[in-house]
Amino acid sequence: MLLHVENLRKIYGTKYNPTVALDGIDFFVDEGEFVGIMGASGSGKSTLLNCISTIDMPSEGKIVLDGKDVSKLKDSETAAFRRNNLGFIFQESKLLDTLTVEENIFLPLTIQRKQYDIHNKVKKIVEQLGIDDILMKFPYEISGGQKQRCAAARAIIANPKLILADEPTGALDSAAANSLMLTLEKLNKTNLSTILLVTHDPISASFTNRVLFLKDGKIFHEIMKGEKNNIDFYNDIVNVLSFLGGRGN
Amino acid sequence: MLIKLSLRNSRHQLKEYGIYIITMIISVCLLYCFNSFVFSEMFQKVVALFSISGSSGMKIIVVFYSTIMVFIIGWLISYMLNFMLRKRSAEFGTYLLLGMEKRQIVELYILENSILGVISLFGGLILGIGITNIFNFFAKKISEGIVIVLNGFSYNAFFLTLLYFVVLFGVLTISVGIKIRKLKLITLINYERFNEAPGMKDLKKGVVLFVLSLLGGISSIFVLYKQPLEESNNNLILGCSFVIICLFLLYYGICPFIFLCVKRSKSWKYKSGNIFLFRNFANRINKITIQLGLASSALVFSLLFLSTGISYGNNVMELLQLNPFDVVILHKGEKTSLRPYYEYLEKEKLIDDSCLYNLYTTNRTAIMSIRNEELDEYFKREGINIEAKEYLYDENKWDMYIKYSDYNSLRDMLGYKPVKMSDDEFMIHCMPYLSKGIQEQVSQKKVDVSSLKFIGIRDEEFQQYDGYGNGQEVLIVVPDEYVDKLQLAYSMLAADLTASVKISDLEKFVLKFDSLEVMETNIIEGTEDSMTKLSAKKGVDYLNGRYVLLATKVQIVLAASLCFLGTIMSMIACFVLAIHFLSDNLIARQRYAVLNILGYDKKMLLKLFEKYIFAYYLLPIVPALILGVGMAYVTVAQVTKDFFIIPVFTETLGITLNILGVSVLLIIMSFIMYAVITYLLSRKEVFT
Amino acid sequence: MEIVKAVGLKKYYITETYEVRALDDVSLSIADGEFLAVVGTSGSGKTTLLNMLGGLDVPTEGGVWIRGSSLKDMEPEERTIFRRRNIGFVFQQYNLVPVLSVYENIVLPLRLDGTRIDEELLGEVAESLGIIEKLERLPQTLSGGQQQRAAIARALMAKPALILADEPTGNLDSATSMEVTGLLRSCAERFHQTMVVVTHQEEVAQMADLIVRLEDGRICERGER
Repeated sequence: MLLHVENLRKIYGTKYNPTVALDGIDFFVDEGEFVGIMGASGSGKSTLLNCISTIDMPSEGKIVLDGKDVSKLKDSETAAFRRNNLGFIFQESKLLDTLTVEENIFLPLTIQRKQYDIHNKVKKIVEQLGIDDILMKFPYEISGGQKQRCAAARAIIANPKLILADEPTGALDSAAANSLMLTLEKLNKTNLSTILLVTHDPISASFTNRVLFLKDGKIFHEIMKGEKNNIDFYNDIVNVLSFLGGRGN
Repeated sequence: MLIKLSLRNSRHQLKEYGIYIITMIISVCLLYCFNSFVFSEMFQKVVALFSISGSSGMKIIVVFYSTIMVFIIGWLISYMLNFMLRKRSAEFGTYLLLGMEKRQIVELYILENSILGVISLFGGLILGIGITNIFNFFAKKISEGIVIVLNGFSYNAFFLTLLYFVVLFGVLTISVGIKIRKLKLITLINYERFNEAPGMKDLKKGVVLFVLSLLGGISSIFVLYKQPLEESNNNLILGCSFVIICLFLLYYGICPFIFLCVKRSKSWKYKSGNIFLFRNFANRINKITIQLGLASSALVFSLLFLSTGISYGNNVMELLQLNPFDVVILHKGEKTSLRPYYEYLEKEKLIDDSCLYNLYTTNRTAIMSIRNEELDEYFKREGINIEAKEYLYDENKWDMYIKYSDYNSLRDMLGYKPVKMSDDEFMIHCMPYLSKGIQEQVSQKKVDVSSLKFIGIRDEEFQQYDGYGNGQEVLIVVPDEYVDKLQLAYSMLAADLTASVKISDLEKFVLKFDSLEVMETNIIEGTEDSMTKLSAKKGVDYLNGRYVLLATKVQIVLAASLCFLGTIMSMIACFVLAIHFLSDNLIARQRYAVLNILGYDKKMLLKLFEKYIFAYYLLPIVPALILGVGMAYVTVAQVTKDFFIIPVFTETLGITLNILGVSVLLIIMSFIMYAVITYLLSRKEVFT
Repeated sequence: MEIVKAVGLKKYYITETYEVRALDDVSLSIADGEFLAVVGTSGSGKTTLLNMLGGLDVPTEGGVWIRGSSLKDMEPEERTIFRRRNIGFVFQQYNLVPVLSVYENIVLPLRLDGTRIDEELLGEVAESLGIIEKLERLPQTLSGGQQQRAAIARALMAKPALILADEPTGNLDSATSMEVTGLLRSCAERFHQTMVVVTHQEEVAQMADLIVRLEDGRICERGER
């Protein structure tokens, strides 16, 4: 068991006007899983991701990652924890505009650690992701889809225990989105990377093997892919979403 | 409603653009101080004196300097306004989009700018008045009543500054307003989209430029020291041109050069923070290469102007010291009573202490030949192409004598200890550079001065520089009866005036007496045997002394103007660097946020930031100081040496280094101040 | 009645080294009260098309008629006033004036035009957009979604015949996106306004009456609900 979230609560606002973003979340994630988290916003999925990634602090509850309770970490320790254990893919790639693609990718490896053989590590990953021809380019010179693949490379290069992806296909058109999801699927299957994916898009979610649905700060439902293919899984997801009702298509 | 919007915007801008307002206030302040100086009583008299003697040179110089000042400040304001316009272009795009007509937007802009302008103007004027008063306070203390003061509040300066600023600011605001009118909406809206990060400029080209820049720097130093061209001015101009070339090329080339050096080094590239720092730094530098070249050059010239100005000032101070008597009236050749002058000054309560005495001469040149020898040696050593004989006024080619009692009275006036001398002794009072030579030659009786016994030399300041004082650099003190054998050279009145005397009092004094004229040492007549002779006409009483000397020296003007210019240039450099750094803050904030997520903690980020700003500020100032000190050293040494024809300063090297040290210190201090302010402002914006 | 007519729109950017055809012969017609979505990948010309329709930019060839008036033939100042009275804009960057309160931002176009402010309507709009409590605040104290909703309120208040929105939900998460699009739609129905929304999000496009897909500056697909 890699990740254990126990009775997680997050409350914003004041005592008299509180907003309950997370209202008691419990779940496990094992190593090698590819988990999707869906739900309308206001349902708390981004908040959940922020708490797990130590960017935000929960009001109550425990988050245990690889045996360590990250909810108890001090502010000064969270950055260290992130760099040693987590990888991130955001909606807007968040590549540093002044660095080349190659430099963006190996950046995590240079933070306070002795690393050997960085060059080869980069080489291996970019070949795997199909971006070895743009290593010397700058982010403004490449397309959105390519940027996200670079972000994915950056996310995995330090061999993190957990990869967190927050709407990574949000700003991409369907072709690029498809390509990215295939990449993530491959990473999960061949590298056995554990991935937590937050998305609103059922197509993207269909690439995962397990989807948690959030509603009003709680886990409403959970479905597994099992042996199904993506299309069937997609239909299951859409059914749950329409059952969730009201919002979205 | 537009008024409300413009008021709110002005307030918002005050907070956001505080550093612009500060710089504007300082500019207005400097302008006021400069005008205050131009309109000060003393300076006005300088101009008047010059125009009386028919030369309009002074007026031209004044106009020239005023124009430069105004031009520079105008440039600064223009730069600032354009910069702010670029920053606000998105905002104006919004207004246009909402349907505000261009005309209304321009009105809005002009209104906002006027508010800011008024605040800067009055802030600057108040600050300027404050500073001139502080300056007066210290000047009075240091100069012991020498009239280098500015008016406490000068109407002329106030209104002229007001006029300059209103015109400048008004014209520039309107020109920016016109620019706004011409802006197309589509460019404003898309402004953000065209703001991409440029990569590294072409590596090869960059390295070539870097090497060229180094060559340029070396050439400039070479030109200054070897002085290959004939005229020294041309050398200076050539040297300056090389300096500018060097500095501008440097910033094009330095990042590619560094990159080339570290490209291979894996350990450097992969060490924590280095690649981020370097890329960010290179990115910034590439965007502002021209501004860096500009700032760096401004610093070099600031150093140059400041140190030259200070050395002129130093020379003037020395000149004043060499002429310790406030007023000296002399009459050539015949015995006259200068008593009436004394009585007038006494009556008007202008006088503190005085002495009526005579100077004597005879047909001997015993001492003066020693003087000529020493001076010729000096000229030969320094490669100056004059003969000592040529720098000698006709009347002074004979040895000059003074009575012992008169001598001690004069010493008493100046606060020197009296000397004891008996009737069979004599002594010599000369300028320091002659002491050793005369001591040697006279005590070894190599030169026969007189039958008296030589008891020694004194060399305190005694109005011996440039003739028409107490001898030209050397005076022989003899017992009172001895002068009976000698002829009368001059009748003299030396007087110290009270502290409250103004130049207008002296003017009145000169006007009251028909026979009294101000001594003007620029007017020279030749003699038959080609000795220079001043037109010290017979029958005229000449007014000389500290006040007159002061009033006729252009160097004071130069000193003040150069110091002002130096200060302004330094400020421009700091300002340009600061605003370009600050404008990056919001983007920097995003970048650091990403780093934080990737795993840099706040302490590490702060350290990165500090390294970055340190490198950013170090980059322009190090080459500027290196080249600037090199240039300034040469010019200051030259200025110090050239001002006095005879060797006045015993230790030019020490003085030069002092002046350089002071200038460098001043510039570094203001530079650090701006850097620290920038650091604090940025840290707040980037890290909260 | 035809509110928007575009005929043969072309926008070429020509330099020495290359020629970019942002729009390459686009024609369309939008009737009163319709909701049109313009979709396509980035670089397909969607934003350029919107800028043409709003009179923010002039085409290299072709013309745009809003309510029968040709934008090309107007003087820039004329166009500004025409825009103010007939077109409302909602852009991706919220374009709120930072020094004015939300209320003042919303009524700014009205004040510029000297029109009377319908306080009742403003209350309704603010309420339905969920920002009625934030009216006195400054824009930077509002969340992204709230700022966007304020921008929409501003666009709606002037009751323009045409509302142009460029990726209005681009920076919002999906439920807020759907909410905002839904609000746009219902307000448009209520006040009988025509809506053109440029978006890359398929689900937003699916709320429209008409969909037009652009690729390389040309219309490659038209759809109707």
